[in-house]
Amino acid sequence: MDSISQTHLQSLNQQIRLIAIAIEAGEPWTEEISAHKESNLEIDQLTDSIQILVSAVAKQTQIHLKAAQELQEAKNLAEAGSRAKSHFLANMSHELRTPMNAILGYSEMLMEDALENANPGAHRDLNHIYTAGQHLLRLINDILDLSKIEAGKMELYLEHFDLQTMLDEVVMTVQPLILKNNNQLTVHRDPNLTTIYADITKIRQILFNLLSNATKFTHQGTITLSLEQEAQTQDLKICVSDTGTGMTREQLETLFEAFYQVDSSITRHHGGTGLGLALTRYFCEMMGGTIRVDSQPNSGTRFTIRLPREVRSPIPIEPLEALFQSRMSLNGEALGDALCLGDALCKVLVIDDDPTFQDLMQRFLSQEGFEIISARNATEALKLARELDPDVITLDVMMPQQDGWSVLMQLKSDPDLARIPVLMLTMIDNKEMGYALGAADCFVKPLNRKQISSAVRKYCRTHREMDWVD
Amino acid sequence: MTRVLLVEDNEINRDMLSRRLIRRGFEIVIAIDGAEGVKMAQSSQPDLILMDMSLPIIDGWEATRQIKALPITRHIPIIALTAHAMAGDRDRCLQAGCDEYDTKPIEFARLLAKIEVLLPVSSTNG
Repeated sequence: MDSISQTHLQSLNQQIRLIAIAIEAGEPWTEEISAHKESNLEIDQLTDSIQILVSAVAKQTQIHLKAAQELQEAKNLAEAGSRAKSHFLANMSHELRTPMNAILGYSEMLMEDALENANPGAHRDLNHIYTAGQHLLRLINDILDLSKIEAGKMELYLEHFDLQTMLDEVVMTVQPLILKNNNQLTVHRDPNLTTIYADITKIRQILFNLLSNATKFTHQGTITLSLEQEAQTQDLKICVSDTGTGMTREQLETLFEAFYQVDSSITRHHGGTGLGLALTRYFCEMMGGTIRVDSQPNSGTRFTIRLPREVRSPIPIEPLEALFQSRMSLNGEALGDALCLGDALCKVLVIDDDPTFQDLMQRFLSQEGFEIISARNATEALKLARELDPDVITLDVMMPQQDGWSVLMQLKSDPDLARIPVLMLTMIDNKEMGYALGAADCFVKPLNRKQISSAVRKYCRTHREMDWVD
Repeated sequence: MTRVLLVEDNEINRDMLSRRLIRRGFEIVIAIDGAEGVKMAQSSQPDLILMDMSLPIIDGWEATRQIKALPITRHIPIIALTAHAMAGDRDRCLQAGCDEYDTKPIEFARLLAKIEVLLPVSSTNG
């Protein structure tokens, strides 16, 4: 090759490198390859081909840039919309609270007049206006809280305060609600629990929400509020239980979602925005606490809250995620013991000879509130299945002594065990074989966490429902 | 008699709150904007000030700052009244020099309790 050709090749090389560097850095770059025609046909052809390649890349880059720009614009628009909405809500709540001030204030004044003038009829009517006004105000406050959370402006005001005094106030406030459905309120309190460090307004709101909820769904029953200090953790443990209508598992699952009410007819009968429990959970978590609920239809509901006695700075929670999505539908993560189906946790028997896999399942499922029982071989599995009556069984096909298929057959031929749903876990897709032998479902390893946990949850529920029908 | 200066631009709120306080035996002095509030604080020497925060001419925060800067008025306790109840409002009020903070709609019993706490013992009503 002559020296001119060599110079041209070097120049081409240089240009391509510069283009690559510019593309990598997201900077503008030249779309023309400069080259001198020369005697060497191969080099001319190569130059032309490179020019075609460079033009094609340039065209594609333009398309990508345009798409990215459009995406960014759409994102900005959506964010601006969300901000505008939060701002509107905050403003609106302010505008709504101002006339409420007059309605509540004047009706209170007139009530005082009615009492002085011994006019019980007027007093009763005015009391209706006053009570309805207070109800409306609570709804407005819930919406204001939601807009604060959405705007990322919900804050904690931490202070030391006397728990007993606050409790007295709350009990006094809910008393009229308790009496409304002929209920009784029992309060158990630990006299040693005095000062705590937390946001008093939020704890008051949590207690009020739970108690007023309990009064809505309980008639001629008992509502119990108990506060104690947990021996192990020193945490504050608050229980609100009732002897009311209770809830099914489906109802429990969406209980803490914003805007969701167990039954839309509840709005008609009981009022409420559907925000109360979502806010309650948000406040608990913000203060580093947890909330769980235990309930069964017709046997009452119990909410249990655990809070540190010394709350530290707020726990950051992604607002939208926290409020608008049930974390179970998200990926079940960190729901922890917040949800408990019926009285006991869902029991899952994991049959697998591999300790690593056992470990993995333990981590996947226990975080979601399932109780895991491990069995390493067929004999152990059948014994544990009989003794502990699991809700769901996961069964590995590849096991050394006896393979999963034969364990499946044994499970399905035992009348006591046959109705427990079995999820087969295999290395190769063999669904037909699984279904033929009575498996509820088959999954191919490696497992996707979301897939397995939602399947376990689904079959857990089916199994419990069958039990209830019995 | 305990004299309370009520600084409030909303006529209905002013009427209601002043009448309710008069019923409880307070003497009420009224100002309808922040600038008037600062003036009245000096001329009428109230025992306590109830200060709305969104006020014309100068707002409640600025009025509070001015009252707390004047030697003849700085001792007067101020309760901020705000309808916002947004995060940061309370801190802003306290930073401006308010001694207490309450949100509208006013819970009258709660407000009375706060007034009671802030008043010098000699001037409280029975």
